[in-house]
Parts: sequence; structure tokens; C-alpha cells
Amino acid sequence: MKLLARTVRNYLAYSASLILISTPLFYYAIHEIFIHDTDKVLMAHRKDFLGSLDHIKSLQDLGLFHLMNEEFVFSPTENLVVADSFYTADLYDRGAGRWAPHRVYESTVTVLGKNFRMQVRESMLSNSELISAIMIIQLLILTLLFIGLVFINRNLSQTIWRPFYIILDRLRKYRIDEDTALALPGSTTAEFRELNAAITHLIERSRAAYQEQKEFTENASHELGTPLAICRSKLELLAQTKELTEEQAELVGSLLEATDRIARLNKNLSLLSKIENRQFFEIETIDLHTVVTKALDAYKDQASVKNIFLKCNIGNNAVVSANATLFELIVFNLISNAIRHTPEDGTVIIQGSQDFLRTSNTGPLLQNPEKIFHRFHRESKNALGSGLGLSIVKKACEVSGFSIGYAYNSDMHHFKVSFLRSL
Amino acid sequence: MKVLVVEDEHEMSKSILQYLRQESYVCEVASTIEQAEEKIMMHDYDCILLDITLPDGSGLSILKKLKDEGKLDGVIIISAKNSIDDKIKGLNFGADDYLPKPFHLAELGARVSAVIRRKRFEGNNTIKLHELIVDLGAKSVSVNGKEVELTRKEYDLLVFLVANKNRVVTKNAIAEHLSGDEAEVFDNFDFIYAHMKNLKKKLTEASCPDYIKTIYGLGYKFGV
Repeated sequence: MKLLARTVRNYLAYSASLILISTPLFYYAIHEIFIHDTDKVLMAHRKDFLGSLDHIKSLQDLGLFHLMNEEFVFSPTENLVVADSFYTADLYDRGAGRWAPHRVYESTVTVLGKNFRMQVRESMLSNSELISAIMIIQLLILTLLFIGLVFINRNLSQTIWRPFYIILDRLRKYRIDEDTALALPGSTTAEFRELNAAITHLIERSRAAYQEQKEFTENASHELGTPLAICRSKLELLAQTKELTEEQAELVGSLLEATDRIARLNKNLSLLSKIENRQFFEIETIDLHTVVTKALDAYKDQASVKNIFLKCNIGNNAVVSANATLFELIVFNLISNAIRHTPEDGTVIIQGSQDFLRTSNTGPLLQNPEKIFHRFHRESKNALGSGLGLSIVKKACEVSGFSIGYAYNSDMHHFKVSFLRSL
Repeated sequence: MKVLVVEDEHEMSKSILQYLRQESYVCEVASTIEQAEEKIMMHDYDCILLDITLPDGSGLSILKKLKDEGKLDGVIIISAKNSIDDKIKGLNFGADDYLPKPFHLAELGARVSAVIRRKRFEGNNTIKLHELIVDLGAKSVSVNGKEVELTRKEYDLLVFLVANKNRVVTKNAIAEHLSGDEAEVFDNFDFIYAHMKNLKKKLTEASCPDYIKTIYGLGYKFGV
């Protein structure tokens, strides 16, 4: 839920409950005030009547009084003990021509020795009209208040919150492996200044850690190079020594193989850190067909040893603009990966055009396909790869602006590199 | 044939020397730019193995000096940096080859031999071993004057073994050599056996003695 929606929702809830509670309260309050006022008026009428009682000389005068003051209704009664009372009743309002609520004062009077029940009536029609008018105005004001709140909030979120959305956008676009620092907008709001400072601090620290790690990998692989070279050369010289027994030869052979694996691992690590450091940036126009042919030439021996059926279909004029080193890395690693992990008598299919390159190879389902591009992730223990091939492919794709995806269907593993750069 | 090894890592230069000496090259060592420049002024070398990172500067400056002096020594850059930049720079400065560390001594042997042969024999570049003749210019092989049809890989394999003759060449070195610079080498050497079998068969069919010996657990040796 957006911040604006959340605040507006709270305002809405508050305003609605305010309207719901206040409207009846307000209504009854005004209603009571009006009744109180009307009662006062009725009492004043009664006082007038009692004042003019001396002038009533006959029953006819009383009838005349009733005709002149319609609010007075007299009816003869035996019972004198009717208590004074106020009540509200629906009576016919002749002025308005319809039934309307009236406030009635009832009492008994003795006129000319006769007992009368006296009712003094006051129509409340105009009062209830007034009350509904007031209620409508109140509702209108509250609605206007609410609309105003939403409007002001929206404006605030667009102006006051703007730095926040800018920060969010920059953070979203920020990539720690790119060499630019994060530029955040300045703000006069203290909270945003603090947020900026905290984010900048955090990013600087992450960048430093990332840089350190990158440099460490690069330095470590560089420093390993010389002792590795010495180790390998000494082993090769050891292999040359005369009268080497079969047992010793086998030991030297195993040591050489292990050394070669370290050397390859080291080479790949250094390669990976070089790609991360973006040391390959010159863009050339590359013919996909040439690169794939070169890779197939390098690996077709391996394929034929395992009796793998190789099929290659690259469209005409498949030309890609990319860094030649990175592009060769992608193609070579994908093809060698496909051949390496295909079981005997399997199939490897390579398809490509100027938009994509796809390698497909037969093989069993992977247990952890989501980890396939992770460093040092190996699906099978007996595959003797460095565990870095696909990480290198992924990095090289990222740096080149390509996207890479993996899928498994029809008993085949598919890796597809899309050369279309998303902007 | 004289080879100068410019390398500051003592153990490394010792290994190179020991390996190349078996091919009856005369080797000298320089561990700084100063020493190297001194030796270059005094002697002519058939091949110079040049490390880029030296204690007193970049080995590329030696390369520049050689070019300025007009000395046509064959230079092979050996670098632990393995950076494409160094490779391109080095080759532009006139180096003949670039070999990233760590390398197989057999690979180094083959490269040195190739550079020297190219410099010395130019057009007429053939290796003669009794009845076996390898024509490096025409990339053809003949036994007793009769041509032997070899595939490209078989030919590469033979040249590699011959360049390191009388020395054990490991399977790994062969695998890396045959796969090329870019290729990731598999830990499966079956394809070498296949090529080797075919090569041996073709040579013996052409009545060439079986010079290629299998060294159990290690690799092969071309012994003459």
C-alpha cells in the first residue's frame, strides 16, 4: 500500500467515524435546543392567555380567542387534575397544508366557572427544515474537509516526498559493481538528509568491501601464479629424470594433474575478477559462426570420444557487436559445458542467430537448477570442471549487456544467451 | 643456439634452463632489466624469454630497446599477468610470441623451437630425424621420401613431440597444446590416446620406426 493511500485511508476512517458519531449528536443537540425554545414560546403564549383571561366575558369570547389564536385549542373537561405537560405530536398544519410535528403544551383552565382542557400548539415544521439544512451543511463541510485533506496530501507526497522517490529510484538503479558513486539529491528536510547520509554511508562501506574482495581475488590469483609455475615446472623436470620407477612416474603424473587443475582454477578466478573489473570493453563486430566453429574445433575431439552427436545451426549473417574476448568466453564456455555434461552417446545442439545463441544437451535433471550459475557449484562430484565456467559466462553476459537463461525440457538442458540489449 | 632467459624468479629460470639445456641450447639468465640489457649488447641470442614484471621495471622496455637496436632476436614474452593488454602491447612491440604463466615446459620448448626455426631457416624449415622429415613450412611429413597423410591434430601432435624430443611430454601439456589457448581443457585425455594411436599407426605403416614411447602414468616421449 502506498504511503499516500495509507494516510488517506486513516483520514477517511477518522472523518467517516466523526461524521457518523457527530451527525446524530449534533442533530439531537439542535433538536433539544429547538424544543426548549418552542417550550419557552408556548409558556409565553400561556402567559399572554392568562393575562387576557379577564377580558373573556363569555364562552363566545373564548371561541373568538381560539379563532384569533389558532394555536389555542380548548375542550371542556370534568377532570381538573390534568397535570401541565409538554409533548410532541403529529397534527394537521393548516398553514403548510399537511401533517407536521407540533409541540404541544397541555393544561387545564377554569374560564367562567367551567373547566377546560387547554392545548397550546406550535408547529415545528420550519424547525425540522432548519435542522436538515444544518445537517446538510455539516455533511458538506466534512466532505469538503476530507477532499481537501486528500488533495493536500497528494500535493505533499508529490513535493515533500519527492526526494524520497528520487532516492528510491537511484537506489534501484544503483549497481555496486559499477565504478560510479551513488549521487543522492540534497534536501531541506532533516529526515531525508539523515536518510541520504545513512544510505551513502552504507553504500560506501559495501563498495569498499566489494572492492577489497575484488582486489583480493585478483591479487591472490596473481600471487599464486608464480609458485604454481615453479611447482609445475619442477614436476615436469622430475618427470624427465632417468630411472623413474613406474610407481614414481604415476605419483608425478597425479601431482601434475592436480597442479594443472589448480592452474586452471586460478586462471578462471583471475578471469572472473578481470571481467568484474570491466577490463574488457572494446566493442567489435563479431561473426557468431566463426566463433562457434572455432569452439567446436577445439572441443569436437572431446565430443567424439564420448560419441556425442553434435548438431550446429547458425543463421546466416549472424553478426553480434560485443567485446571479442568476452564473446569468445561465453561461446567457448557454453559449448564446453554442454559437451562436458552430456553423457555418452548424448546429443548437443547449438543454435544461433544474430539475436541469440542456444546450447542444448541431453542429460539428467539437475537437483539445484537455481544454483547453476553460482561459483563453485557442481551438480555432480565426478565432473571435474573448475566450477567457474558458468559463473564466467553469466558475468561476461552481464558485462556485455546480454541476458542468459537456463531451462530444462524434453530431457535436455538449454542455455540461451539473448544478444538483444535491454535498455 | 643461444637463449637468454630474463626472469627474476630464480627457481623459475633454473627450471627453464634445465629443460632447455636438454635440447642442447646454450642458456643464460638475467634477473633484472639492467643485466638483460648488458647481455643483449654483448651477445646475439637466437631467442629471448622475457618476463614482463621485473624488479626494476617492465620487461617491455627491453623489447623496445631491441627493436631500436635492430636486433632481430626472437622474443617470447612469459608473463604471470596473463593480461590481454600485455599480450597485445608485447606483440605490437615486436615480440614473436606470448606465453602466460604458469606454462608447461614442453609448451615453452615447442615455442622456443618454433621461434628459432623461423628465424634461422626461414623458407627452408624442415626437421630431419633419420628417415622422418617434417616440413614446417609446407606442414607436411614424409618417411623415406614418401609423404604420410596426417590430420591437422596428428601433425600438431608430432611437431610438439619432435620439438621436445628425448623428453617426457605430459598428457596435460599435450591436451592444452592441442586444444588451443582459449579452450578450457577437460580432465579427460581419451582424445589424446585416439590421436596418438592413429599417428603411430600411420608412421609405422610408412615403415618409420616407432619413436613414440608411452611413459606409464605420465605421457609420451619421442626418442631418437
